[in-house]
This record gives sequence, C-alpha cells and structure tokens, in this order.
Amino acid sequence: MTERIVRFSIKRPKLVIWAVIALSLLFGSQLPRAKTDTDPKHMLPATSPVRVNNDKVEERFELHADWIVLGIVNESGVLNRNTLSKIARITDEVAGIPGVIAYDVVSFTTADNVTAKGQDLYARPVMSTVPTTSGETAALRKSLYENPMFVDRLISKDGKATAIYVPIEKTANGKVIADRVRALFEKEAKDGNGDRFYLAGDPVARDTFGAQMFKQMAVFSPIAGIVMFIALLLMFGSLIPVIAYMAVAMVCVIWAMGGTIGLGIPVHIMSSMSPVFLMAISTDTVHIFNEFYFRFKETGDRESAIMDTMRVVGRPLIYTDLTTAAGFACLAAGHIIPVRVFGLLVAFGTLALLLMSFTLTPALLSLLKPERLRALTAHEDLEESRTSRRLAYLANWSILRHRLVAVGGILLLVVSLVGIQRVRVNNNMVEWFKPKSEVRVADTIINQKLGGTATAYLVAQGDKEGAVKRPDTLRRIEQIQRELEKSPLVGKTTSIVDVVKRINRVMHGDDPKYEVIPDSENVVAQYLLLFSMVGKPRDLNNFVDYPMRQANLWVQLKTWDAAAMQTVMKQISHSKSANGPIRIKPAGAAYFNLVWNNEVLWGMLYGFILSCILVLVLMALCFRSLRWGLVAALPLLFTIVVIYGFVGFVGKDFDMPISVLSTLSLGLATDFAIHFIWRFRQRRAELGGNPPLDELLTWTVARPGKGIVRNALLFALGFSVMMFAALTPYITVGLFMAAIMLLSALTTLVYLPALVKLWQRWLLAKDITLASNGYARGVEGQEK
Amino acid sequence: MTVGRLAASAALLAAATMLMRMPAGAELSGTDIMTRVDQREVGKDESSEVTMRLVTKGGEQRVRKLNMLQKGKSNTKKVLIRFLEPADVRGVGFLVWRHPDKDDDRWLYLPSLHMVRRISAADKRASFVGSDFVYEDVAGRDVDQDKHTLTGSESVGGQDCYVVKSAPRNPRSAEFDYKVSWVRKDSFVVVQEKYYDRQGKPLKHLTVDNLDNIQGIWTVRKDTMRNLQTGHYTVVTWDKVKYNTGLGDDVFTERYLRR
Repeated sequence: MTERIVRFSIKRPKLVIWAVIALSLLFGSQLPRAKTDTDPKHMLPATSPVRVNNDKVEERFELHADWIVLGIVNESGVLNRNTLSKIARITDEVAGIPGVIAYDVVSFTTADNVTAKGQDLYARPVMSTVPTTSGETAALRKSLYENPMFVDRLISKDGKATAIYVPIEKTANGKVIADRVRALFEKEAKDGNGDRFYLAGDPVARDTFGAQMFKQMAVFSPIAGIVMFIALLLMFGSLIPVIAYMAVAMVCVIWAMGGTIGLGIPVHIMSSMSPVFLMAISTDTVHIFNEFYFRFKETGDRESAIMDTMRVVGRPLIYTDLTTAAGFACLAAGHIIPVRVFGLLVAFGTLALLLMSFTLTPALLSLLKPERLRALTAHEDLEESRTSRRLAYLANWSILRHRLVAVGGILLLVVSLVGIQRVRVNNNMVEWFKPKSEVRVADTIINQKLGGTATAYLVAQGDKEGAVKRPDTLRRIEQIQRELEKSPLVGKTTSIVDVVKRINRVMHGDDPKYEVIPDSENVVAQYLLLFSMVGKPRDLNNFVDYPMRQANLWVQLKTWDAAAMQTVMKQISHSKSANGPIRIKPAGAAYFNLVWNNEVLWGMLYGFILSCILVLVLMALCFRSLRWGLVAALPLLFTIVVIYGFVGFVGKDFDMPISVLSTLSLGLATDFAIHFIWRFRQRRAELGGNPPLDELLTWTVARPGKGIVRNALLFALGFSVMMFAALTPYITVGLFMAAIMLLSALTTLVYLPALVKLWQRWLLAKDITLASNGYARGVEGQEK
Repeated sequence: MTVGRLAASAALLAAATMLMRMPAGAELSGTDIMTRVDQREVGKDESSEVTMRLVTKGGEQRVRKLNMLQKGKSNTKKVLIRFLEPADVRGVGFLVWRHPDKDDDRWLYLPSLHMVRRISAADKRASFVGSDFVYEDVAGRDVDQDKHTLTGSESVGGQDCYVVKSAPRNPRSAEFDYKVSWVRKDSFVVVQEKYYDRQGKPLKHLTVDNLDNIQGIWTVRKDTMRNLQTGHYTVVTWDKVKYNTGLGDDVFTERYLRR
C-alpha cells in the first residue's frame, strides 16, 4: 500500500506537488479568520460546576465579571487638589468609553458615603466636588480614613495611592478600553505633579496577552524558521532538503491551524504554540534525507534509492507518527477545552506529516537531478565520517561502560524524583508577562498599595430566609473576616457587616463606640432599608441576596497565585465547626483560578500519563514485543522525570506552558527511540544469524543516530531564539524545547546502547527469528 | 413611581377648559407640555396603599408595601410614607417636604431605635429603596431642571401622545443623558418614558400598565420601570386610592412621623 503511494508520487511528482499546494491554499485561506480567546474562564466548559456557580453568584449579587483597575500613585500623597481634579476628570471620561459599564464605575466621585452631623444624615459621594481649601481636603481625608470600606480600596493606608474601578461588559475588548485609558493617562501625566498611573485587572492582562500572542508568534516563528534554515543548510550542504523540510513543516502547520480556525475554533494560548510544536515534530524529512543520501551514495540510482529509503524508514515513520498522533489525540479525552483543541490539532498535523512523508517528500526527491545528487552525497560522505566517527566513539564508550551508564542513569532518576517532590503546581497569568512589563508592574504596585487585584467571593449561606439579618450570622461573618485578614496574602475583606456597622455608627452621631453589630434583627433590617434609601442599590446587592439568606464576603488577595486562594480555602474548612448553620461556598476569579489550576494542570498531567501508557502499548505492538516496548519508552520516561525534577529544583512553578511542553516529549523522545530500535533490529535481521552486538550498536548510533543528532541540534537551535520573546510562556517553550531535544537525543544514543548491552539476553533471545517477521522485507543485502 | 402619577392629572373638565383656551392650531412647545403634566389636577390630597415588587434578572423578588399620603402638588408637595411590609421594617416612616426654591426636606424614622434623622442627599436620582425608581420619581422633579423639546406625535395603546425629549440642564444632576416621554394629548398623563445613558444606550423604560379614572382624576394604578442594562425591574401598584379626604397639615410633621 505505502509502496504504491510512493511509486505514484515518484511517477507523477508535479501532480502531487500541485495537489498539496492547492489543498494548502484552501486551508490557508482560513487563517485570516483567526480569533483569540485568552479568557481563562473558557478553559473549562460552560457547564462545569465552577462556572455555573460563578455565573449564579454574579447574577445573584449583581457582580461584574470583568474589572479594570486604574491605579493613581503620588509619592507626596494623592489628596492634593491637582491629583483630585484628575481623578474627577478621569472618572468622568472613563464612563463615556464604549464597553464600560458607566453606572458602576467606582471612584472618589462616585462611591457613596453616609456621614452624620448631629441629627442629620448626609449621603453623597465621598468627593462630590474637588476640594478647593485645605479645610475641605482635610475633611475628605477624614471621611476616607473613617470608613473602613474605603481604606485599602479607594485610598491606601499611606495616602499615596487611590484607584478607579471600572467594570466592563463581557463582550468588550479589555485592550481596546485599556488603550483609551492610557491615552487619558498620558494627557494627565504631563503636568509634572508627580502622579503616576497604572492599569491592571484581568481583562487588561488577558487581552494584552492575546494581542501580544499573535505578535510574538509572528516574529519568532519566522526567526526560528530562519535559524533552522541555516542549520539545515550547514548539515546537508544543500538547499533541497532544507526546502523539503520547510515545505513539509509549513504544510502541516497550515493544514492543522487552517483546519482548526476554519471550524470556528478560537486560538488559545496552547494552540498558539502548536506551529512551533508541529515544526519540531515534522522531522520525518530529516530522517528520509539522512537515509536517502546513504542509499544514493551506495547505489547511485535515484528511483531505487527513494524506494529503498522508504522501505527501511517507512515503517518507523508510520509508527513514530502514529504514536505521536495517538499520544496527542489522547489529550482530547479530558474535558479542558484548550487542551482538547491543542491535542487534536497537533494529532491532525502529525497525520498530515505522515501523508507528506509518503507523497510530497518522495515527489521532491524524484525531481532532484542525479548529477546534482552525486555532488551532494560526495560531500555527505565527508560529513559522515566526521560526525559518525564521533558518534561511534560515543557508542563504544557507553557500551563498554554500560554498567556505569546504567547506574548513572538510575542516580539521575533518583535525584530527579527528589526534585519532583518540590514541584509546585501553580499558575499565575500575570506572571506570563515579564517582571518589567507594564501589566506586571501595574499589578505589583496596585497589590502593594491597595487591597489586591485578585478577588474571591465567599458566599455564606444561612439556614433560612432573612438569616443574614440575624446578629449571630453577622458576628460569625465578621469573625471569618478577621481570621482571613491575618494572612499576609489577604489584602482586604468586605461584607455586609461593614455596611451595618457603618450605619450603626452614623445613626449614633458618628460615635466610634457604635461601630459594632447591633443586637436586634429588626434594627439590622431597618438599617438596611435606610441604606437602600441613601445608597446605590449595588452597595447592598453586592453583599446580600434578595431573600437575605446569603451574604457575599469579598476577599481581595495580593497575588493571583492559586496557592494564595488555597490558603483561604484551608482556613475556611478549618473554621467549619464554628460556623454553625452557615455554609461557605467560594466563587469569583481568584477561586476560579484555583479550580482551573487544579483541573487544567492535573488534568493535563493525567492526560499525559494516559498518553504515555498508550504510547507504550503502541510501541509494544509496533515492535511486537513488550520488552522492546518498555525499552523504547525509557527515553520518554527519562526525559520527563529529569525535566520535572529540574523544574522542582530551580523552583519554577509547574504551570501551563510547562505542562504543554512536557507533551512534546511524546513526539520527540519516542520518535528517537523508535528510529533507534527499529533500525537496530532491522539491521540485525538483515545481517542474519547472531552478529556481534557491539558492532551492531555502534552502527546504529553512527548511522541512524546521525539523523537523530541532526534533528535534535536543529531544533534546539531553532527554538532557543524564543528565549528572547517578551512573554514568559514563550521563553519557557524556547528553553525547554531545547532541553527536551538534547535530553531525548542523548538518552537515546547513550542509554539505549548501554541498556541493550546490559539486557541483551532478555531482549535478544526472541529476536533471532526476526528475519521471517518482515523486518528485512525488500532490503536483503542492500545495506553493507 | 409617580412619574406617571404626578403626571396623572386632569379633571376632564379642567383639561377641556384649558384646551378651549388655546387658539386653534397653536403648537404647544415641549416645555408647555411638561408644565401641563406638572400642573395637572391631582386633588387637594391623596391617600393610597402602594405595593412595590422588585424583581432581579434571575427572577428573585422583594416586595415592599407602604402607605402613602400626599398633599399639594408640584414643588409644594408633601409626602408621608409608612412601611407596612416586610414585618421587620413595619413602621419605618419617610417624610418629604418639597420647596419651590431650595432642596427638599426629608426625614426618616426608624421605630426600632425611636429615632428620626433628617437626610441630606446630594443625589436625587438615587434609587428609592433599591427599586428602579429614583427618589425624584416619588417626590417629583422640577420642570425647569430639564430642557424639553417636542419631537413629534405617536400613538401609544391607541391614544394620541406628544413625544417630548428632555435633557437635564446640568448633565451631572442625573444618571441619564436624556429621556423621552410619551404624554397623552387628552389628559397630559405620561404613559411611557425611555431613558438613555451617556453612551446613547437605552437605560430604563417606564410603562404605565393600568390607568384609571378615580373621582374624576386620572390615576396610574400600575406601572413598571425596567432597567434595560441590569435586567432588574420594579412593578408598582396603587390600591385604596382616595382623593380629597381632608388630610391636615399636622399629618406631614416630624411629630406625626414619630408615631
């Protein structure tokens, strides 16, 4: 079957090439329709319990899902006339930006404050007009610091920072709004008053990331391409294999990306990395050219060299591509949408690669002029002697010291396992930006000065309607608040308790003694009614539900680390017994982040383990031997364990980019191992009898091993350029891609020979009769 | 809640007389129309039982029942509200005195503490007890606070109406950028209103669902205000409406409020 396809492709190369071009144009025409989706919420399906509950909580308490935070900092204090008038102007102008939910913008000029003077109650924004005298400024300062709802939310304890909170519509683009706010900032920053402006919040980070994602991929994919182009050129000394590799890689990327986008699926952070992945996986061409050059050198006949090449490398190519595709497709078994999309996308691209290996690549080979080939392979011979000699030396060393190598490997594994113990599963989207990037600086400053940008909601559910009005319920909520605030990660907590205490004080002539929860349920009920006549409905509705059965406790965290929310959760479960009939249910962005963190990362990890098992089974089937399957899986296992161990030792969080990257070893480590073992056993069967093992292993390391080394070096180089990207996930990709490449290659070329030598009885006992098993089909006596 | 209500006027006779006084074919200006709405006949005093049903987007409800007494009209009106339900706020009182040239006086009484507090609120457009109506909808809004323009005529529910666009003279004094009112030509009752925000998006929508003639006075018996942006809405019904029962001035005092 494969032979007929290859034969056809050699006979009608132009037809094959044009067909591929036509199909690629078709897939490529879908690319401009690409949309990004960087909202972490969409990582879980809309029906997942955490999203359903979050939506319910947002609706019940009239909360907005997306907030932009405008931080204003002045080292000599923000409570000066100049800065205050800027706050008023910015608040006013921001409300006019399309996509902003104008009626709920919170700042000095919109946040209601209830104050008392004798028998009179005043209800007005904390700053209805910009103060013109020092007396008015002092009054503003007093009312800000007297109301605990404002401290750390609207004014920092040191008086040097304030914030404007801007809710935006779900469909609005955070970056577009952020850009308009930045323009406002620029206008206001000119006067030399020393005001600094910062922009933070989930939508800004998300949409800025989405926009940068495209830019980074647009810049770094071609640069990686160029570097690899040069490296390939140096390795093969000719443009043709380079062009062939590039063409095949492009086809895979265009088909897979175009197909996904054509289906209307948005590009997530994970799938945005798939072009890089596909380029790394589409190495079939390198192996084909590697073998073809040797064959052509031996026979001098183009057609037969192509057919022979495909006969010996065809099977391993089919197996490597199928295991890679199956491994990635396996990721789709989970319920995390971007992981599913990513898995299927790469699987599809790998199948496209397999198709190209038997059609486009042979077609391109058949267009090479024999004279040109002779010139090229003459050069190849020289190359071979140099690289191959070194490889042979390496092989001899590891075969000779196979016990040492094995022990060394075990030691490395043990050390890595210790490192794995230290791995912290955590994800922090703000940290996807570099420490000096605008988004990260803004987030850090605002977290430093004010309560914190990561918000969680703890919904306290009472036993019956009206439970929230009961003083005992309120007292318990207050206790929880005080307990939570002990943690340095918790910047601020706010609840209906703060409202009730505030009104109690105000009703009693602003006497601080009365800043407590009143003893009677009726008093609480009447306070809340009073508040609904002087404040905005949201000031109440954000904290209690309509039947007054549930209270919403806001927790502001100083970091987006999932671990911070984990601490909050621990504290809640600790105090469960003290809560009586009250049940606490968490929600909000920070909680979602935690769930997402656990589900996505652990889900990814389980999916990956599942894929590994599947790959093991496939390899056992492919070699028709469980033993060889196990040995072939070792480089994969080794690479993963060492990399995770390294991650643990350097203290890098096991986050999304790392979890995605580890899947790449599915496509690389197994490829290398399959090529190595297949060619070893094939050679052994070809030679017949029981050829000397050491020689055989040395040949495998020197000849097919050269393809592996070429492959590994090529990509390590190509992707190391991504270390210069502006987004940390891409830097991680660049760094770890190189590491995975080199580790997999090294494991394959050093450990496999040593292990085969060590376990020769166990592994080779059954292999003697292999010649009849199809290994040497059609290649008798052609390899010398 | 009484936008329609305030509006609600027109002893038919009075309206007819006024119309007869107008020279045939003379066009009323937007301001003329809104003044007629403000000045329409509403009796010397009025008492009613009001039920406000507040409904969230998710369908959760909060019901408030209150007794409402009013005396006078337009900018000399006095209003006394006494909450009846829910039980834990029963007896809470709210008294309003409007003045022609200065801010309204408002007092609130909390029975659980036996306390009266005068309330001074800068924002007259603040929600009334968490509903979609604002304080001004209850107490009234001065006609000259807005610039009124007649934009045409339309039929609402088979009744010929003026369409008047009103924009606040001081844009900061209101949460809306402008509103459009549909005023019945025969009775000068506002039967529909639409509010728009600064971004030009629809904000709120008032519909009068039931208009009744009681003692010769056009009376809104039910209306609905919908917040189109939050999905929240409020339905108000008026029962036991009685005009001219002879309420004395002593009813609208702080002392009476404390009872």
